[in-house]
Amino acid sequence: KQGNEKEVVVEALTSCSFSVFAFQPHYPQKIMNLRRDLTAFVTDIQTAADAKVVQKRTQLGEAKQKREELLEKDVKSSQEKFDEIASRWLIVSQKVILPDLQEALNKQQQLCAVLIQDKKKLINELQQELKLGDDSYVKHLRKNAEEIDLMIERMEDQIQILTQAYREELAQIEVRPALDQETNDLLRASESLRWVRSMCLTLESLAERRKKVEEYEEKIHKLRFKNAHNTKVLEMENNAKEQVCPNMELNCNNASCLFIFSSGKRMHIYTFTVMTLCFRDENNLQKLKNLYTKEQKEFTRHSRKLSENYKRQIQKYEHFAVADGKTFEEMWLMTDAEAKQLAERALLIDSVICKQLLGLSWERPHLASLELSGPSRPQELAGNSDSGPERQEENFFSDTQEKVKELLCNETDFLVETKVLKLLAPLENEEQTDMKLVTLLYVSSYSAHLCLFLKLNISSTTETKLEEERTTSVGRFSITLANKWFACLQDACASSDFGKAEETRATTNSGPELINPDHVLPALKTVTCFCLSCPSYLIPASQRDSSEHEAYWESLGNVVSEEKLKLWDAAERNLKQYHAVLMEISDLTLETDRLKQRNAELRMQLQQRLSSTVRLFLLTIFL
Amino acid sequence: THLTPSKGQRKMRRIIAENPNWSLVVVPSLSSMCLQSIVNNFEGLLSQLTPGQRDFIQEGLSPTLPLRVTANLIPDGVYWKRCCERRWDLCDVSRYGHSWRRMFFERHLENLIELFIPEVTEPKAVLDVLPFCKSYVRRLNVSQLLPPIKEPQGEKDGEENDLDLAIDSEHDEACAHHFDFGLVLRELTHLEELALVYRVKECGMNFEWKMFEMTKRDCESLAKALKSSRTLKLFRLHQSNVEDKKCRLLVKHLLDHPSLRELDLSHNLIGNGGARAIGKLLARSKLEVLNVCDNKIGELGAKAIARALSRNSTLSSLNLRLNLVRDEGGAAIGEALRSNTTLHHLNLGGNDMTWRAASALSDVLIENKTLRSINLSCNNLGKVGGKALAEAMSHNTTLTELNVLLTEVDEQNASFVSEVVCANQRSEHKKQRKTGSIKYP
Repeated sequence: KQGNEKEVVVEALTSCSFSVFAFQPHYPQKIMNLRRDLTAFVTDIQTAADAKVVQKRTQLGEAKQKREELLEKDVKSSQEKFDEIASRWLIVSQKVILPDLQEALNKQQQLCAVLIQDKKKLINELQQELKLGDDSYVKHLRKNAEEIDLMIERMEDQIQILTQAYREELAQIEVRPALDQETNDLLRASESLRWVRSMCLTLESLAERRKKVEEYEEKIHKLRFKNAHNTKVLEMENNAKEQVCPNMELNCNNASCLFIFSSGKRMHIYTFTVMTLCFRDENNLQKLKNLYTKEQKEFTRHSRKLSENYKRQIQKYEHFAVADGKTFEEMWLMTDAEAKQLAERALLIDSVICKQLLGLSWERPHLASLELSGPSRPQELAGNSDSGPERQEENFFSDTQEKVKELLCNETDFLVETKVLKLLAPLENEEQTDMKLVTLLYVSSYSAHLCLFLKLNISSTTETKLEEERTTSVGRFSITLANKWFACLQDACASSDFGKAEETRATTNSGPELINPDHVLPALKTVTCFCLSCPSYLIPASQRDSSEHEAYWESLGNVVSEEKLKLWDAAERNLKQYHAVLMEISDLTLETDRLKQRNAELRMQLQQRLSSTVRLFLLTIFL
Repeated sequence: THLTPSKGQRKMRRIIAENPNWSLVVVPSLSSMCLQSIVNNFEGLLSQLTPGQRDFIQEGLSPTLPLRVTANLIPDGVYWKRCCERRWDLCDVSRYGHSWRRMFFERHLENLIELFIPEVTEPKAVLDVLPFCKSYVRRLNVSQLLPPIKEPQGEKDGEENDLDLAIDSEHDEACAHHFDFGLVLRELTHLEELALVYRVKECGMNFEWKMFEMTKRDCESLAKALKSSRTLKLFRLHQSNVEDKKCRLLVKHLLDHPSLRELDLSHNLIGNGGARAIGKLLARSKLEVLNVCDNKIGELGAKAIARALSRNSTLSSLNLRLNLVRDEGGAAIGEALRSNTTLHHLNLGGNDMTWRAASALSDVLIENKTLRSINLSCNNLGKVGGKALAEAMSHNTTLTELNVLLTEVDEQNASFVSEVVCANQRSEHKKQRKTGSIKYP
């Protein structure tokens, strides 16, 4: 209990002081140190109080133990005494004679009194102890109160110290920005002064320069004026001299020569200065020019290199493409041959089965696809066969085509932008038409399709020599397109009544006009519609024979028909059964062979035995 | 009306009514006009006034007005300051969140409870105030609880069977019952802190031991009351002779409390049994601060707490000062700290520990990175313990407080420890500054 009060007070105080210190996160080093030291003082007090409490506790525990021991001892002794008294009572009860009894009773009383006295003594002792404890408690309390007072005083001092420190800090904080302000102001003022000074200087120099410039201008003006005047005067004089007197000529000449010389000299000086200026500029220009030419050269070199690189790349790709094509062809041929072999074998087997097993007559099935082979052959065949007439036709068409093209382009000029037309103006006639066609196609409704096609075509053209190549490829494309167009146009014209005459004229190749210029636009429209409706028209031929090939491969795969396969299955089954029977038979023959051999052996043995027994028999008989 | 200054030498004013029906009878009297304005503005009597007018009214109102009227009507400010200053000499408003009204109601209620004499004072006296107080009272710091004058007939408690540690309950039976907090805590819906001391102040020569302890029924009613309060964050019960049995009873009702964060049962008589119960509470609550200093917790109790500590993930401060934890308990707590990553502050002062506990703790100090302060003062650690601690501190960079005063640690090690602690403090301070400067640019 004694420690408790103080404990609690100390705690309250410390918590108070902590709360005073607890609410500002940052301090300078000095205040931090102060804080730590001051609080350390308080916590030290707390630990001291703790130590006291611990000590007190141990003391109390010891005292308690002692007391308990004492009490126990006392209980024991008193118990002994009580036992004695109790045992004596028996003796007392046996006594018959009165004085004896009296005596015994007296003794008993004495004993009891002793016991009671002992107890009283003990009680007294304990009471004294209690009193002592009380006194010491009171003392302790007083002491604690004193200590607490002292502590409070000290803490007040601490708080004062801290507040002073804080105040100083605050003052410093207040002063610092003020100082900063002042220095800043000073700096700003000096800076502005310097600036003003420099500004004044520059202004002055500028004014001077302006003045000078004005002077110079004036001078130049004057000089020019003077010169002009002089020359005029000279001219006048000369004229006068020429007119007036030849004998004065020499004198005059002399004078005029002097004058001219002097003026010329002056002029010379001026021109010299001007020239030097010009030279400087020229030099600069020359330098720039040199640099420019150098740059240009480098650039051209670079571009050439790049173009060469590009060409090489393209060649490489071309090479690769060719190689790929070759390998593809080889592969095709190889697989084709293999497939054919396989088919032949299958047919052979089929024939064997039919002829030998089933006894049927076998016919070689007609397979057209077997003749077909190679990726290139069909095209080649077609190319070869059609080459004659087509070429003729081509020749026949080329003129008309060109004409149609021109017509188309000229008639549909309005669709092409004027800019493009201007750009195209310097080109040749043919190229012009080609380009126009291309732009037209861009403009027309299915430009997307055509662009795609254009790209395809460009990529498919292997000879690409930059711009020339491009134009040629475009030309070729346009030609192929024009072919188709032309065909379409013919169809379209055939369908329309008014186109008939033109068509006939076109086919006969007689008239310069193929189609009436008025009908070009509707015809174009029908063509575009037609082209939109059947985009396959635009797909190149090389891609279309894939279905043919597919059929070819399919037919190769189906050399042996389903029915035949069934037949084969049945035949196989029968053969298997037959095979099994044959196996059995072969086994049996083996068995019989073995048995026969054995039989022969046995027979041999029997014979031997028989002969031996006979011999024995004979011997016995003889003996 | 129209105002016309008369001509001529005599200057006078005359009011001439344009309305022929006008007469003095029609003019309302000033008092009736005042009444009318009161009637009109009865609802927001103060809110519609200018600040100056409001201050005037608050200055003038009598502080003896019944609370029933003033509690909700008059806002926090001058009026409540006057009320407080009239009743108490010391008024530190910063301790009450700078709210005079809160201070008034809290202290008013505290006074009522402190002067409540069971079976003499009507419970109504307290209960009547609650409806006005309940929205302002956040903390109750009751510094005394009076026992009843008449001794009630003690009832026999038959629950002795289920409690394994039987402490003599002579006083319990005969003792009086104090104020029942069940009535109050249920009503106070904003209460966050509750601090109680079962004692009588200034008892003088009427001293009796029973004045300074709580009875069993007190404990029961208090525990139930605590359970019923959903907002309580801090509970403090000092110097009330709480022993194992009562501690267990309290803890039983505090298990799974939704808001309790801080428990302070210092200066009581809690032993190992109570400590076990507290260990269970640690496992089943969100306690952040636990203070059981100056109790009688021994090795077993410390072990129970240590076991709970090793699994707990909320506790940040543990105070076991002035107990009887000894070496075994200290070592167990040290072991628990290996797996604990939340505890910041640990106080094991005055626990009769020696160098064994010190070496166990110093092992942990090398690994643990969350501990901020340890207090080992008033233990007999000796030179060996000091050496172990010094060695551990040379590997530690997080501890900013290590108290080894009065532990028989030799000077050299002690000074080394304090040096390391200072260095840690400085680095911590720097870190705080950095983060602080980011927080408040």
